[in-house]
Amino acid sequence: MRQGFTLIELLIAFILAASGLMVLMQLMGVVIFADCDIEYSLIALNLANEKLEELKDSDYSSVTSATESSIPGFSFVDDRIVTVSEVDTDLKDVQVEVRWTQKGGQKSIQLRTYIANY
Amino acid sequence: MDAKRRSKIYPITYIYRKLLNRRLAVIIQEWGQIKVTNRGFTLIETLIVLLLLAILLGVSGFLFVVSLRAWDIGLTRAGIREDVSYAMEKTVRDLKEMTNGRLSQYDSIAKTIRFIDNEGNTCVFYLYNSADTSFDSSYTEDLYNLHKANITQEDDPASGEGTLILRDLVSPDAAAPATALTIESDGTQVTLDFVVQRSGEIVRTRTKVRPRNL
Repeated sequence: MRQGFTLIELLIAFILAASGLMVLMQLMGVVIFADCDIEYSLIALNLANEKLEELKDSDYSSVTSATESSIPGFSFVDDRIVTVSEVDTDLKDVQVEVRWTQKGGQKSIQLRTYIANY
Repeated sequence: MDAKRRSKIYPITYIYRKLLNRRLAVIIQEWGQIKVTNRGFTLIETLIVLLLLAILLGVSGFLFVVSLRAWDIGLTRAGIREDVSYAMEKTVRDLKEMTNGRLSQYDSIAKTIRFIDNEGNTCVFYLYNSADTSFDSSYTEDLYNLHKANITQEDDPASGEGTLILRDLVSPDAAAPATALTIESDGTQVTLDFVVQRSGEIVRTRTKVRPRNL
């Protein structure tokens, strides 16, 4: 008996194929943005470290809380926040946070250390 | 329903019968029967199918090309990141471990940093491009490589000797070329500003290091 596909069957097949492609497309996007994520994290980590080294090299009295609303040359960065609290006499708890925005919301990286007045 | 017709029931319609309302099952079955008598596609059906197929292929082909390009870019940037991470780790470590002495420039050349490593060797980080005719402070070439020369073991920075740390560095600031490694004015800190360019992709990262034994 001769029997082919019906048009409806073919259309269903197309819908299935198209939805399969959609999934692949989304996966591709995820992979590309994951790549971007790694790069920004790496740079942000270095920038946080830069601030920490700067603070370690400066006078104890000038280690204070501060916020930089942008970092020239690194336009993806939203801000770099230094939070300082004096936990003991001549001992400061220093936290540096670098924040940036990318697909999926705001991300941040934090580094924390103690700086002593010696 | 006669025996002959019953024999035409497909497994799928049998399942419909079991699962669905019997009346609906009959409709589905009959719809199937009607279609079975269709011996092929009409021209218009074929055209629609071909059109859809062309659209689908076009879209997936476009996606394929785009993803190949994205993959290429990703690969280039990942390569740069890896090299930059290594170079940063290496230079930061070397500078942190430097022994008593001080940071200075080699022969007063801006593209260099001289320090004494933890084994007492005098070492120089310097930017080099073999096409650069004179080894001086000027930036006449587009791309430079970062090398580490061990002066005590007679590496000559002027001829590019020593270990290659990082390739394809461009100036962090095109207007006023600044070096990838800068000694801060207080002389106790080094800024590492690595801007690497490969296949049109630029990755920039920056940090500072304060040598521990100054």
